[in-house]
Amino acid sequence: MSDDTLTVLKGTLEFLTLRTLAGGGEMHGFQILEWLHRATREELQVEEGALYPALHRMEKRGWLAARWATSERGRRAKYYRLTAAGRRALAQEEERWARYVTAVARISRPQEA
Amino acid sequence: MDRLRRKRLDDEIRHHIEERAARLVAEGMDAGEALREAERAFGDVGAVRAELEQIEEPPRGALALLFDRVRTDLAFAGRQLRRAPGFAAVAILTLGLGIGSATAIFGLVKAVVLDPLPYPQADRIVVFNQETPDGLRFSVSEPDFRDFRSRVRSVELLTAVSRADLTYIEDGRPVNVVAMQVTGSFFPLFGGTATTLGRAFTDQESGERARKLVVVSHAFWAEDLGGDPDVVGTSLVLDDMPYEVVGVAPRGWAPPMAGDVWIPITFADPDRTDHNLDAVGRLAAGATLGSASADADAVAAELGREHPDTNGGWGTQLRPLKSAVLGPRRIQAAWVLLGAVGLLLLLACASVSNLLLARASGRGREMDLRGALGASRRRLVQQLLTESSVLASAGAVVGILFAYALLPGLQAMSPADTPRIGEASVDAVVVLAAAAAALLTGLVFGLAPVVHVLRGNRTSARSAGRVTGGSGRARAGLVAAQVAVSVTLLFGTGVLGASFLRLQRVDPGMDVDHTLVVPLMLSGDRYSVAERRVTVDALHARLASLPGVEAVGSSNIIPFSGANTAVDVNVEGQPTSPDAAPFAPWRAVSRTYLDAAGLELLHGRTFEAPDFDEGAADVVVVTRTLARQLFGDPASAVGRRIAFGWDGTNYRRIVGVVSDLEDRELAGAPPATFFMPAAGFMNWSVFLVRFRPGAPLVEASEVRRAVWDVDPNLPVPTVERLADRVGGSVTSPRFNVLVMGMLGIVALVLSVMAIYGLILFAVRQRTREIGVRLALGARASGVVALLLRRGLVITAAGTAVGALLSLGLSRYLDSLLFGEVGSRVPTLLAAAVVVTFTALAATWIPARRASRVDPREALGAE
Repeated sequence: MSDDTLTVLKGTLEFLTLRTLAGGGEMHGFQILEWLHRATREELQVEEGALYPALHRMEKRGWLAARWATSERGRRAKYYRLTAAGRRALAQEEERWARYVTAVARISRPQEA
Repeated sequence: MDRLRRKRLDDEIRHHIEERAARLVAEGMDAGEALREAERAFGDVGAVRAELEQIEEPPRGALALLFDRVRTDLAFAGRQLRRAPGFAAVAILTLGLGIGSATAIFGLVKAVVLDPLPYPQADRIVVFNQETPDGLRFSVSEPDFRDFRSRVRSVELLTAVSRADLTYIEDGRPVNVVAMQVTGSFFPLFGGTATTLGRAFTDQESGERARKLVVVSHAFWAEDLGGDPDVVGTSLVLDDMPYEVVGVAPRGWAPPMAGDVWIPITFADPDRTDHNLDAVGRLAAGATLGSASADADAVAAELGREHPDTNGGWGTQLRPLKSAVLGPRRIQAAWVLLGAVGLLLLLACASVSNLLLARASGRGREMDLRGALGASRRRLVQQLLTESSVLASAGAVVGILFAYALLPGLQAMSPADTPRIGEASVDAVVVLAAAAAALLTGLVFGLAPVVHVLRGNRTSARSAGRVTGGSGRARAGLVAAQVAVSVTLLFGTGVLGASFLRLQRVDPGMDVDHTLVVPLMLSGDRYSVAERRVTVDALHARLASLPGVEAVGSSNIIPFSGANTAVDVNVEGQPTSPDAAPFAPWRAVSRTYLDAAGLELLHGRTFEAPDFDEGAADVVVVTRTLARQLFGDPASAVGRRIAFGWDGTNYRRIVGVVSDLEDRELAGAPPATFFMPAAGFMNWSVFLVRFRPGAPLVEASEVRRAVWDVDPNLPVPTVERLADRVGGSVTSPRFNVLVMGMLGIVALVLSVMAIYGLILFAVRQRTREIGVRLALGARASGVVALLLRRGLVITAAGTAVGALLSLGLSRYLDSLLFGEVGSRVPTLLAAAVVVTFTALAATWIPARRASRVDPREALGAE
């Protein structure tokens, strides 16, 4: 892996996952990961296993609901979807991200005094 | 987390990896490599899985946290004990020994003494006796029984019982049947109304209007009547008399007066002086033993006024059934044994306490370190108690297993006549008691190191390398206590053992190894006096013709059966009083009995044929002890005359004096017995068949055939070697001695281990001090003396306390002894000497080691 791919920070993965599921569909872990890769144009480097603790934590919190179903390839897979609570959490996270990004941008391009 | 949820986690992870691998294969990668690459991309599968499990685990409450901590402590305690396997093994074995002995003895005592008897309201059943004006307990006469039954309101179901031995002809052979003659209330009183077949008989069918009915025991029905389902209504011929079978008793029913069959008792004897009934009843609702006794005494006083000649001054005695069945001696023996194992258990506690203390001293640094690292004092105490509990639990398991192994042995050793001994088992209650004992001991011995830690934390790490004064004193005190208990238990063993040896040395006066005992019952219903005399004479002749027989004789008592016949006697010309008259056992014997019993003629003559003729002058032969008791010089007895009763006047002339006979129990002091000619009035003729030395004893079947040659209808219940009967009479003392001896030895071993451990530990702890002493020029012998002195002081203190304890508890041993009890001081001295010398030997070994300490090494040790 190249050194300039972005390493996902803890907490970021949750936000990105919520975003991924915001479309309204059901996805299993591998699909979520593939979607993230595509959406970030392969820039985002995630150790794939790290996704699952995030999924399970959010399921525990009630942000995600999950069920076991048969995938399009005929395998049993666990599908996650966003709940109403998850949607509210996503809204809050987006706002936090916006503030964060603004703050980081401000530091990166120092304003003239 | 449950198995299914764990599997779901695995499924989800595997699904991901397989999807990734499939993708890679689609991109042209080789299948095996694709799988490896997929796993690599996933990261650390194990770590992810563990994290998922933690997320899935439900939140934990306070109880769960406590449980976790206990589990941690248990694991820690387990590690600690595994790290010191020698210590753990000794501690667990010590506890196991203590708990196991206590459990086994408790199991016995529970079955024999504590468990209620298996009858309805068993604790309210009383044995009802009459009491002579002198306060002696007597059986009840028939007319008195009837009056008591109708007048004593506070005792219900008052039942009369009388044993009879009847003959039943089975397959042409006579069989002795024990028939209990009872009033009908016997069945409701002892819970026997739920018969297997038919019914029980009633009060109305017994007594004054008794009918010839019979209820057979389940065993008799199954074995002797072939389990005939139509037996009710048939007739059973006993002593040539038909009895109608009305019922078969419940299976396993075991009333205290057990018999093969029960028949209605017949009341026909108007004589109030003929005391021949046992009476039992149940306290009526609201009555207590005290109020019922008062009630019964009031009725007895009424009877005394109505019949002053026969009942004047007579009272009653009511006793709980259980104490009557067991007897006060047995109950006290049970408590003494229980007390002894209790002492042993305390001793085991002290031993383990001591071991823990030694360890605690050694672990001072560990405790200080953990305290410094932030472990709270409470936490340390918790951990120590957990360790003690683990030890106690392991000890309990070992102890219960030990008890399982021990109990059958104890049962086999125990006296055969002990009621319900066979029912003893390591049941739930006994296991619970063992567990409770373990818990208690765990707390007791666990306290010592806890106190040590609490104190040790205060004194801090400075003293970590040295034994602290407080714990040293505590340990010395514990060892002294152990020595005290050892002395006490050994003293008990010694007293019982000495008494047992005395018993073993007692000479019954008979040739027990070459004599057979054949008790025969020629009942008054079947034989007239004349017939009985003819039959008994013929039996003598026939048995004497058996090969190897040297002499045959008969008396009225089965030797060593506990049975006895005895009366007050008075000597002609020496007026006496009821209190002062000698009470002498008597035996009605055949002419040849004295010879058959192997008694030696000392003065005068033995019995001769004319003494047995009808109308012959009454003569007696006395034993040396009776002769000496009555006349001082045995030789002067011949020619004097004695009579039955303190004021009797029917004098019988003493024609001979023989050596002493002991035929009842081996009590140490020979009884003052006299013999008179059996004139055919006694139901029992107990034959002694003595064989020539070296001649083999004949088989029991041959004896039976010989008897049946004379009278084919005479049952021969038993043919036994006299030695076996004697052996049976000493099982009770032997049992007590063996159990006490076992406890005493275990106690001694534990104390010796403790004192050895203490001195060894002191030597280790004081290596530096000893090194300094040696370096400063002290001689090795001086160091040994120093340590020996320490051992001696502890032992002496313990022995002194043990001696006081022994003397204080000594009287409780009386119930286990027999014969006269000599001074116990020598026994006590012996116990003290044994314990002291063993303890000093245990001190010597480590002390010698100390004297070989190399001063340079010792000083370098710290």
